[in-house]
Amino acid sequence: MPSLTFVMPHWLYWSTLGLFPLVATWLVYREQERRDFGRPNLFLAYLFLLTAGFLGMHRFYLKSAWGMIFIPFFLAVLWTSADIRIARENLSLSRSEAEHAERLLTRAQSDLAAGKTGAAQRLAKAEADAAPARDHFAASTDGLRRANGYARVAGILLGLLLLGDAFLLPRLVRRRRQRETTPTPPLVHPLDTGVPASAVKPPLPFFRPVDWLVRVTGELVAYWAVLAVFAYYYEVVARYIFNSPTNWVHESMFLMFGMQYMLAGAYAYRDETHVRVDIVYSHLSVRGRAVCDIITSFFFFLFAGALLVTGWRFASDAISIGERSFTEWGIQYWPVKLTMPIGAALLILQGLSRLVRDIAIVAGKVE
Amino acid sequence: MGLELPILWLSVLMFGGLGVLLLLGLPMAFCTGSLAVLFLFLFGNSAVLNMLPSRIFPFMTDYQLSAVPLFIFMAAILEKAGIIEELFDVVYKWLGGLKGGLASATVISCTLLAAMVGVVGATEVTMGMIALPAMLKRNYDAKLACGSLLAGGTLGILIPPSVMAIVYAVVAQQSLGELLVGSVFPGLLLSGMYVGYVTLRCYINPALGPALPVDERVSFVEKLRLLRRTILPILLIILVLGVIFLGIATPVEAAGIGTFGAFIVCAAHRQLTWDTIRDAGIATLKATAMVMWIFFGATMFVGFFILKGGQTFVSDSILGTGLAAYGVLILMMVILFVLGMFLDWVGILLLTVPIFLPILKGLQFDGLFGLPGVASSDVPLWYGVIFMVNMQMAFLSPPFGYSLFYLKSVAPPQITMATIFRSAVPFLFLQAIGVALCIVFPAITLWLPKMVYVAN
Repeated sequence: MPSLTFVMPHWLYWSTLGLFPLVATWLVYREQERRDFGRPNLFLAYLFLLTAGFLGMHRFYLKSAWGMIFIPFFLAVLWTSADIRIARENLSLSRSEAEHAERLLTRAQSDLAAGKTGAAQRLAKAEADAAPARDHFAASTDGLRRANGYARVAGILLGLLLLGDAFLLPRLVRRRRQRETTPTPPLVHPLDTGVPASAVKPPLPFFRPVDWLVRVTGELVAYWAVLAVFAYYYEVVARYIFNSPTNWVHESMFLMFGMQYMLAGAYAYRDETHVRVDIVYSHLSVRGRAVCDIITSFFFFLFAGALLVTGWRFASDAISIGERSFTEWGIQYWPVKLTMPIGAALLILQGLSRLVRDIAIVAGKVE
Repeated sequence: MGLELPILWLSVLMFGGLGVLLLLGLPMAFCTGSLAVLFLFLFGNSAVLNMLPSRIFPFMTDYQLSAVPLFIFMAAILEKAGIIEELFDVVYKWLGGLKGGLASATVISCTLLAAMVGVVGATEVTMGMIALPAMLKRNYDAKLACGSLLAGGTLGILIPPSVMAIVYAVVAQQSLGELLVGSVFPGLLLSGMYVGYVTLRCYINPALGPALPVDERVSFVEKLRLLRRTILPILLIILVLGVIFLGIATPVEAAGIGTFGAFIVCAAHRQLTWDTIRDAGIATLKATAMVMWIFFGATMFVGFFILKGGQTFVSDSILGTGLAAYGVLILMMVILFVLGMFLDWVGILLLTVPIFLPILKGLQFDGLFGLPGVASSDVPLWYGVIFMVNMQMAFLSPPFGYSLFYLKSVAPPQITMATIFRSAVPFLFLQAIGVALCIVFPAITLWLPKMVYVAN
């Protein structure tokens, strides 16, 4: 199996984070226009061929049992790449062993030339030691070559199968679609894991832009989770099938999630998913709740404000030195830190929108 | 401003303030965060406030914590795929002939789902929507039906993968793999007790849960054919848990692969659309933000409390009662139970674990009734699992238990909140027995991690 040496370039990382949510939003929109779901489609079939075709997943997606054929080949590839890993370790061990023996040998030879006592015996011993070490090294080289050879055969066979299916796929999808004429209706599921408490309060007209900003930010960063799925999947496949672990997947993903937590705070506040203790609060009237919210808003703004000010100081320090991480990948750190004041600012805006609305409720201007 | 106050009064002020703000309906995350800011300013100075971002940033860049959104995302995708309906359908056709079979099927489907899902919310809600009407239609006792749903659905957060285990692992600096492996048997123990209890009650009094009429039962051949529909979910369970248990990949990577598998399951059910992904992503975002912001707030709050000597204060007061090691542990369990009546698990975990765990680490657990004890190096793992089992009660204990409200939100109108409260009581007892068993027999928790992690 060839090695994967791809390292995510920084510009690609940041632009993917920026562009993927926009593309996904567009795809959601386009899908609603076309209304063709509940049946197999070519895009997903090729996606699964590309990402999990070595397990026959594209075939299973099309309900074709022929996908089973891929599994023995996949196991063979997995087996051989484990072999390669062992062979590589053996090789490096025997190489250092052989090198050590050679060093002793040359030293003994030069000792003999200098006419030191006992050099002859040492030379004989070193020669005796070097021979098995050389054999060992040769055997390990051979072992690695053999393992690589098997891996190549298994890999090529698997590749040919995949290539064949890449050509067959459009026809397979078409045939499957003819058999599944009635699309499966989408399931309606309540996915709300938050507290089933009071409904979301609609904003006052003046604060609609704020509401829009908070909602759109949240919806866009929500799509990042999809990126993580593919990134971790890539990492594991690269490690076990191609024997090449990456140095960027883990770091890029936890930083991405870190930014997501920060930016999502305001969105969750808007949708009332931050847990509260509902013993008294939920039994109050709408006005009573508004009064409580006005009282506690002092504390809310204290926290959000402190986060904004200190977070900005924290981020601007990082920006001024163009901070990067100390890892091999060396990604820019300052945009991650910058999400802290941005998240706090969104939170404050959302809090203001609520506060004004609560005051309007208490004043009797709004229901 | 640099005020000084004895720690006793400071504790009263901090936790009293927390209580008042919580009662006034401010979200937990902001209560703890704002009080921390206020106290830092009053008892330190404005420069100390700069520790705010440097305490929060490590959580934003924590590797293990990225498993939280991934496992929630996986659960959301699987629910969208309709896997809950499918599993329940199969299990209940298998068990339909037994007395109380539907209630047992509910618990067993929930247990299987819990092995794919790390949260409680959506499983509880969806199971409530499909299993509760099915049981009521067949004249099941409403309390038994609700109870089995409540208890079964709550297993989601105990049986691995479990979001609670991830949060505990990060707070207690404990190996996540060990914690996940350790919670397998306690989870199965609880599940088994629920099934046993339901079956026993229905065999003593068949009117509580009558068996399906003979003409509604399916033949054995049909049962075997139904099993085909469980292949994908079971493969997924084996994939995720197998990867974690065998140490092939880290739990975070396992969550990534598992979500990829969930995509395939969802596509095979013809439910994978961009709309599904969007809904699942947003549900994930909200649930994650809720957990993480409590992290941000509570870590400041507890950090300040410990800085001011709160740790020693609590330790001295608890040890000052003269209780033995197990007495201290039981006292803590009672405190957790009481907190569980009002707070949710994230808050309890973040507020209590940093204070309780160091106390327990300093104690000797030599075993009860002549049974083997717990080595001090195993205490964080052991306590973690006991904590998680205890938190099962927090979901069920009135007046504020999540599972109760989830079920109420989907229950038909004739099921009142009072019925749901009362239905939870026997299962709360079973959970308390579960906690006691885990304390008396530490091997329930510790045996499997030892097997798995010594072998590796």
